[in-house]
Amino acid sequence: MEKVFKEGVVGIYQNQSYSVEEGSFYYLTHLFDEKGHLDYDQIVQLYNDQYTHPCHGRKSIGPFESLDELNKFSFKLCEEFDFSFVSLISSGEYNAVLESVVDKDELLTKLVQSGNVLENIDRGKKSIFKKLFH
Amino acid sequence: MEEMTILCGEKLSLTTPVPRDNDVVFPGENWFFYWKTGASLWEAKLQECPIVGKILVPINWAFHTDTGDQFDFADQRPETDLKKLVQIATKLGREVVFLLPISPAPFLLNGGVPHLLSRSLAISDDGLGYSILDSEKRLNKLYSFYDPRVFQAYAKFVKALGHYFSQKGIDKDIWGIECGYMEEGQFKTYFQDSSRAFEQAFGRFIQAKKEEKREADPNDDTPLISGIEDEKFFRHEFKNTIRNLYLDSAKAALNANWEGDLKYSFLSGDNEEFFNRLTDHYSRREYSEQLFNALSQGIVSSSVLIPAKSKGHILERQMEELVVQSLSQVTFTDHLYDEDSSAIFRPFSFVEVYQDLEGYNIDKTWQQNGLNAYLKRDFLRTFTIRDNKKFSWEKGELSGEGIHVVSGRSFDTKSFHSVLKLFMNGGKIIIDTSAMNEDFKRRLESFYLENSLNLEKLNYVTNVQNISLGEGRLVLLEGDVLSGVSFDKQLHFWERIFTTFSIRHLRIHDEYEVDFSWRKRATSASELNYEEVRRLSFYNGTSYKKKMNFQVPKNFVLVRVIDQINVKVETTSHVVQVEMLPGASVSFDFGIYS
Repeated sequence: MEKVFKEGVVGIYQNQSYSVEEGSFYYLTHLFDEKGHLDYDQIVQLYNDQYTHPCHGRKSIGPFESLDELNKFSFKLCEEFDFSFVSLISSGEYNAVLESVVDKDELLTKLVQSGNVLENIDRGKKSIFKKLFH
Repeated sequence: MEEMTILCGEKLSLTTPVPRDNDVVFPGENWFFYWKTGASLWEAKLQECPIVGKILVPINWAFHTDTGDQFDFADQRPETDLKKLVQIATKLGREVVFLLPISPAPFLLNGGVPHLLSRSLAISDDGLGYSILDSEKRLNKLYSFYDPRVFQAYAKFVKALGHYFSQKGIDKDIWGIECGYMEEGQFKTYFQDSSRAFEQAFGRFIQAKKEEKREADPNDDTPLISGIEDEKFFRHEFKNTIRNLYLDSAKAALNANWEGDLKYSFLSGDNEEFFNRLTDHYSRREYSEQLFNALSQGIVSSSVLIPAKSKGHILERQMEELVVQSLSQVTFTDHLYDEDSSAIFRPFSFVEVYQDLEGYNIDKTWQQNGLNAYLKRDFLRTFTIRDNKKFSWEKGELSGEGIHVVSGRSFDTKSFHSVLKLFMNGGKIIIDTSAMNEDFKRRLESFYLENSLNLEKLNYVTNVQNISLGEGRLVLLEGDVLSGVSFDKQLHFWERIFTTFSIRHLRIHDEYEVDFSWRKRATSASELNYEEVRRLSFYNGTSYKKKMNFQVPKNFVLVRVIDQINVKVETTSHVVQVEMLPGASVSFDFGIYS
């Protein structure tokens, strides 16, 4: 499992409209690593710290106005929780992967590999600093 | 025979646990997966299996057909010979009950849909295809039941199944099962689907509705759907229409054996849990919560998706005691009043709360007026939530036991008559008269006058009226007023109301964070000084040691302490102290007397 995840996270997002007035936005609906689903309360807290409007809810982290905003938040996630990467995959892409696989291991590998992988390139540098100062 | 898949498609390592064959064939709760073993082994397996009570056999549609047109009932594969299965069970003195999925089934490959018809993935509310890991960690993708070809094939199958049962003289009960999972206390059916197949079928449904509307009134220009609420309403209506199509076709084809239909909640059957399972993690505390939420709505739970070795002692025990030995016994047994049945500890509740469970919006009536919060505080695990449709005297759904709480908002003529009949037969009913039709209010008043009933009126937080007739009681109150008062006042109000019913109960509060359940049974010949026997079971699913104590109330006698695992119990006059290690469980039997 660790070999697949390499301390990274898979995030599945959806383009969703909860009301006609608000229009459609992006929401992160599932975030998991090799230990399973992440603790949503912490992620909601991180979202609320970043944005003035409140997070929609535990099962829908957002709203994000654009994929760019979603990517920025994902980088923030990496920074805050020390992930090596976030592999972002849309619900449509997820369903395409699901249709193409036959077993859970293949699904997991493809989810990690097929998404838009945002690497935490500062992660290594931080470790060096930690070693210098601790 | 379907290939044994224990070793196929899995990466083996020295540490990979291999499921035992019996765990695959008997995945839990007395279920028997006949397709997972050779027919020549059925007798040996059924003989050696530790199942007590009826054997529940789900019917695997796809196993009996490859194409959806031709069906195999022992013509080609002996494993499709359900008649032989029944004969073997009968020879061994075992009773069989068949379960026929009337929805996508998470424990079957492709949700039960034959391979050639598995075209459109069923999509859940979060936009993701339903995907389930079964007890062998195989990936089951669910396919949409809204594809017309799937329905046509299903209808053919159940017809062929009915014909086969009739021809072979198989007289065993069949229950239709609607499969789903519990999410935040609500039952979610796998019929909830937003796939392409659903959208296309829904489009056709809306067209037909528009035609209907045009024909009814050609001058009416108003749009059929003018907003989100309308859309939700029609989506919901469409979903129910299709669900009923499957149910009705199964009922009609299997009429001679049909016993009814049930909702089945599959633990770990939701998408969130899927991603935990994908990484080999199991949320056992969450499964227990799902189990208790399902029980509070009279829904049967199943742990067949979870590998036997991953269930854990606490969940296993809960499933065995609360489902297998209790709810399933009550659900699947014909004779509730014979000697054997009186020994069963069955689920019970003091309060039955009726609300709209099948609507497209969550009914918040009882949340807003504080009743839910009060019941969770003082009657935790002893109140049940039922759908409004179940409040029916004609259908025999109502018992004289317990207090029925209904909302006048949802009244129709049937439910109104049910209130009166239940009351006249000694039933106790609390009615929230807010938004009750004025006509029903007038009819109630006429009812009091015609029967010379004494009406007591009181103004406490809101207007309360009480009418008694023998054992029967009617309490009418305006619940909407309660929605505007403080939370503490709401709790105090309901506490005062329920105190007037003199319910003999030992209240266990949630503060200990230990799961518990109440069941009851009739007394035996040696227990005639009691009216009934109640069993209180505790389960510590946490990772912490727990210390609790409770006082044994008047009218209760602690008869025995049983099934202690990692527990220390001390009893002094009327106080019981319990110390539970992580994973501990214990049960207390109380005799109840007047």
